[in-house]
Amino acid sequence: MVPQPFIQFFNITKIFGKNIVLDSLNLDIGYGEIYGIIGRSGSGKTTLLSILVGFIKPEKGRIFFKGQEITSDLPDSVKQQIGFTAQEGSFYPKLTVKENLEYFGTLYNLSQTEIRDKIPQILKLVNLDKDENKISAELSSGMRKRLDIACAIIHDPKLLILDEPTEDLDPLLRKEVLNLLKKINKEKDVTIIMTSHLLEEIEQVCTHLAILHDKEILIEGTLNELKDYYSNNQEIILQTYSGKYSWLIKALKEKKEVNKVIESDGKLLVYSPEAESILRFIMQELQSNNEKVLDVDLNKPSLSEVFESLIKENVQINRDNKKES
Amino acid sequence: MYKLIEIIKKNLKLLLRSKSSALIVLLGPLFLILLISMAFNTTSLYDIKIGTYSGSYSELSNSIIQKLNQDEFKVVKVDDRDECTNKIKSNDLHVCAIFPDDLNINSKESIEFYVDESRMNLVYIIINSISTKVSTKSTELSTALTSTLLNSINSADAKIGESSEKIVKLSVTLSEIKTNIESIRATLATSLNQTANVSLLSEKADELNMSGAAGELINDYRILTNSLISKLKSSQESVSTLNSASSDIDAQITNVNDVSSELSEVKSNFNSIEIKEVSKIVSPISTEIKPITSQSTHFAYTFPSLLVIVLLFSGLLVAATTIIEEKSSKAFFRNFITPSSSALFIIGNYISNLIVVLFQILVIFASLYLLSSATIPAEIVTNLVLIILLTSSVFILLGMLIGYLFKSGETANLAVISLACILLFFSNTILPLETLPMAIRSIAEYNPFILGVNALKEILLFKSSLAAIATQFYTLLIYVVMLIILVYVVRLFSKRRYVE
Repeated sequence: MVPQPFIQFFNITKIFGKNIVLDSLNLDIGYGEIYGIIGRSGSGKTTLLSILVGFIKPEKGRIFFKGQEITSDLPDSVKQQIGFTAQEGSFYPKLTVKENLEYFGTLYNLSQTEIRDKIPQILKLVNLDKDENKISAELSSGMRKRLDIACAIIHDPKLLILDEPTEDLDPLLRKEVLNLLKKINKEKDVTIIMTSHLLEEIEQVCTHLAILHDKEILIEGTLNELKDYYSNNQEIILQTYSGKYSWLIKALKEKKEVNKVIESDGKLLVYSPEAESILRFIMQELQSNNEKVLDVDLNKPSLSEVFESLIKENVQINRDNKKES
Repeated sequence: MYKLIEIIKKNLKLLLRSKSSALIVLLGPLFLILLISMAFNTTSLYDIKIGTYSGSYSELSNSIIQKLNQDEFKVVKVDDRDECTNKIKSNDLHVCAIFPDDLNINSKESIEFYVDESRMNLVYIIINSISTKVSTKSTELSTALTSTLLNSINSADAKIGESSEKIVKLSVTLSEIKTNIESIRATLATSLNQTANVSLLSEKADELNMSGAAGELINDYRILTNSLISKLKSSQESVSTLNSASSDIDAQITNVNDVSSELSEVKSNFNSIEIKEVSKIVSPISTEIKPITSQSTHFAYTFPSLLVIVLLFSGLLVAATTIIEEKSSKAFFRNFITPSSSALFIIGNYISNLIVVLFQILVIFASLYLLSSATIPAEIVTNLVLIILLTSSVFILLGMLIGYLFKSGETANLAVISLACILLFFSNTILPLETLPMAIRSIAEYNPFILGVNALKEILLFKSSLAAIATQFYTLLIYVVMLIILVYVVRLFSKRRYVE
């Protein structure tokens, strides 16, 4: 029996004015996962999260939380199980660290005793236990992000949603925050959904990911599944002096071993599980056509390359569709 | 309940930790009350400059100027009529008084006062004050003239009395003279009746025809009787004269009696004047304006307005500022996604603002107590608190509404100031409502500012019961209920706008 997803988006469409932001989007997120949603800026990541926390409503589609359909406003029982951090810190800068936690703890229906007990634990978890009486505005960027996360988990949510959690942080602080997320996921058994356009950090922390592009999910799965899928292909990166590849693309597309051919920025990207034989074929073709090679490389794709190729492939398909129509 | 307390605690902490807000909250009302109590703690006008011009100042005009120069007015003699009026335009003078040349009580020309009508709030006070001064001088003059007139009448009355007595005596004397004349006339008439007898005797003596001594005697007798007859005949003429004299005396007696009765009538007319007091004649109807309350300074009358102005500005500004700060805070988003209702945040914000406004009112009352030992009678405390609560609630909810409607602090502040100005302009604070057209006035009467001021005035000055201010009380209550609903709707709408 297939386990029920923790969160299920079904056929979600969101329109702002005349602009379709999400179009018939489907996504399943399982229990205990650290789910990364990657996509370019403006691809609809924040909108998707805002729908999930009930801040905005989709025009179409259904959302299931632990199998229960959310039909109207997000019920308080569901809100109680969700923690959220936005791109910028959602706390009061003029209150102290402790006062912010007390305030949001109360709003999340915690009793005064529970708040008193939880604050030291949470502060220790986010490594702010020595700064509880500091005014929040006086904290460093990394501390602020940790306080924001602390505010989001004060009520022990089952689902923690983070919108670009490492935005504007330096690499060290970024690593610190990502480690904290792993710690929360492990120690508190919290399902985490995070968005980012920084693929390295998604690669570093997420167990699952989805690529959101052009209003829809292009691909989703575990990181290993995606890597495995793309590790079957090797990537040939070719650059010639002329930079004209149309004749070569046509020739490559006739080859069964070639899975994808993408032309981008004067370069040709070719994906194939038999990259070495294809590379030989390319060199022969170039020689017979008197094309001089400027640069050539053979790689196993990283996540960012997977992302780029998928995006480019999607762009290519769209172009082809337009030409056909 | 914990949530509500936590929201209120958070709002107050945010307000107090902002130095400028804390200063405004704590020192604002203190500063305001000090300033206004100093300004209004008097019943006089200060430094009102009156310019005077006359081609030739008379004693009377100088005495009026002297009168005006007392107390609050400062009189300046100007050399030119146009200069005098121009100085009003340039605000160097408040009033220009043009005295006719050589002004005296017989002058037919009047004193002209020029005022700047555009200074509506001041001009009527000045006109009233100057009119009072001039009227006092005019009364003094009337009193002097009336006093002279009354003295003359009294003197004439006394002299008529004396003359009447003399006339009565004259009449009596004339009557006695007439009686004497009648007596003489009667005697003479009797004598005249003997004339025939004498003539008869004379004739008989002639008939005797005697000579000698007897003849001589009879001759002497005849001469004597003839002389007697002749005298009797001449006496008859005197009787006629006496008759004529008697008739004249009658006529004179009638005249004397007429004069006597006329004098009596004049005297009677004098006596019929009941009021002979100068003050009563100069001002037969005395008026005295008595206040319905006995307050010694303007401050007591302006205090209700002052209180509502504080409620208006602090209510609107504090509420709009806290809502805008809340909205612009990134934590606003987290508030939305917590399992806490919108109503809770509205109530929390409302109570926080109410605490701030009530604190300011408390500061005002405490400063009043410290400055002037003024206390509030126990019987009005409940009504006072109720009206302050209702009025401040209306302004706080209006401020919250503005806070939710506008995006930035600048536009919200602009909206607050505009609204406060509208509420102030259409109240009795700047111009009396009675100067407004009826249609606008009937709308302005529902101005919460006016409702608050009127209710507080009745409570503070007249110690009115709640029943006496029921209209204001229920109208304010309706405002509060309507605004709560409106704020709730607008907050939901503002959430949608925040998302977009």
